[in-house]
Amino acid sequence: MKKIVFCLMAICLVLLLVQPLCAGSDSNAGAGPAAPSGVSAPGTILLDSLSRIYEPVNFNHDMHTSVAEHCSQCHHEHPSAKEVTCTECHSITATDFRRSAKTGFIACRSCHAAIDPAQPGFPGLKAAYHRTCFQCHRDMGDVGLDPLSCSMKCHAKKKG
Amino acid sequence: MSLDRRQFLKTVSVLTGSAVLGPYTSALASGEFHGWPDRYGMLTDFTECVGCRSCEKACNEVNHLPQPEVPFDDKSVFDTQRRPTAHAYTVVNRYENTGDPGKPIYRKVQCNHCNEPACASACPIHAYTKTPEGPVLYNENLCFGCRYCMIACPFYVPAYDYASAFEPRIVKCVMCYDRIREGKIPGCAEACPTQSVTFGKRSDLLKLAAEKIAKDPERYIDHIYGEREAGGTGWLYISGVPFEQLGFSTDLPEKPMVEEVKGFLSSVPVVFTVWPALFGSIYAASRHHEAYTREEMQHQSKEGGKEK
Repeated sequence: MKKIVFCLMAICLVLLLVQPLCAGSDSNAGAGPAAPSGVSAPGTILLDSLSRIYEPVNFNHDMHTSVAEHCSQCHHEHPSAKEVTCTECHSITATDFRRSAKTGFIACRSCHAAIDPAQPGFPGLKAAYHRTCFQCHRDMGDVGLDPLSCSMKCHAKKKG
Repeated sequence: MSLDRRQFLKTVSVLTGSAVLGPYTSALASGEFHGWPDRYGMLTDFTECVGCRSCEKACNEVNHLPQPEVPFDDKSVFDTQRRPTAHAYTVVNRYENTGDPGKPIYRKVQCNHCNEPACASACPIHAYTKTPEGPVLYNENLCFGCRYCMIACPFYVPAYDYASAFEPRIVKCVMCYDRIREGKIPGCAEACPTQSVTFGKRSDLLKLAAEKIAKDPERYIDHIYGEREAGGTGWLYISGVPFEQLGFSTDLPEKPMVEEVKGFLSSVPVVFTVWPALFGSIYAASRHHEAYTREEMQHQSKEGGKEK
């Protein structure tokens, strides 16, 4: 009996040791040390700062990194400009990404805040998000054909 | 009442002078006003609009309008061309995009808040006001339901509320005047996910529109609708296709609509007041002269008879 308990404890210990190495394969939540502010690690990101009418958006950064030609396609202030593909600098797993990110990304909201009527040409946070998404998703037919697509494609409607 | 010859002539000349010069002096006075400085406006960029109808929903909410029969995320409303109604101050219509059939164009329709509103000039009881902030407001307590404004509006905007026969009222978008006064932005502009409806000072929006067109001439046609149409409107539009394809009136004069009718309208009071007085006086004078001459003739003939 004692042997069985010892074996189980040993297995648990091994699992505990191995677990951090697997982190990042599904989500960035709780993986590794705290990221510097403004750095978005890949994985699934919850965009919830504007969730008034709709539920927060689960944004799959990994998937977008694999289809984007370069980081600055979405992160327009990214220093890589349009020459270097994402994967040339960044490994797509969360821990490796953080290690490889030399320059912290500037979060959209650090510049784009609420709409300012004094600067009508400057997009607020909501417009910054949507315009970025629509530069591809409008051509894909996900938006611009049916108002219902807002809740079908990205935003689940809040109940009640 | 006695009226001597000198006083009569003086009165007639003053009245005739004002009848002739009246329309011109009033036209000159208003012609010098080019709109309130720093007034607000809106800019709709049709290339950014994706027809989500968030603006319609927000308008409904901030104005406490009744829930529509068709939900806001139902695209069946696009099958017809709608106009604003008493229960929807703004509507979005869909137009075919001949250049890129996969991307239909959506046009948001609402009051354009003209610099010199035709509705305000047509209203016989001054229920309309062009505010210094930019929005054109109406006082529903004054409105008695003549609907002249509906006829006068070159954009067919004011709608009529038939709900009560005893309290008729014209309704239309007021650019969320109360929200502007509170320092907020209009409901539709706040709700738009792409800021295709942008709120700001009209002068800033004109600059922004011109910059957008200059920066991307392939995306936009070189025209800011509302910059000059009907004397200029508070709501401006830029588009990737000619405006006539989106149902806009492109034959409107550049002068405010009121200029077209000012001469006629300002002559109406003159015709109803001065003309009766003037021609009545002339008629009375000529009658008096005739009577006097007749009396004189009779007198002379009587005297002639006596002499015989």
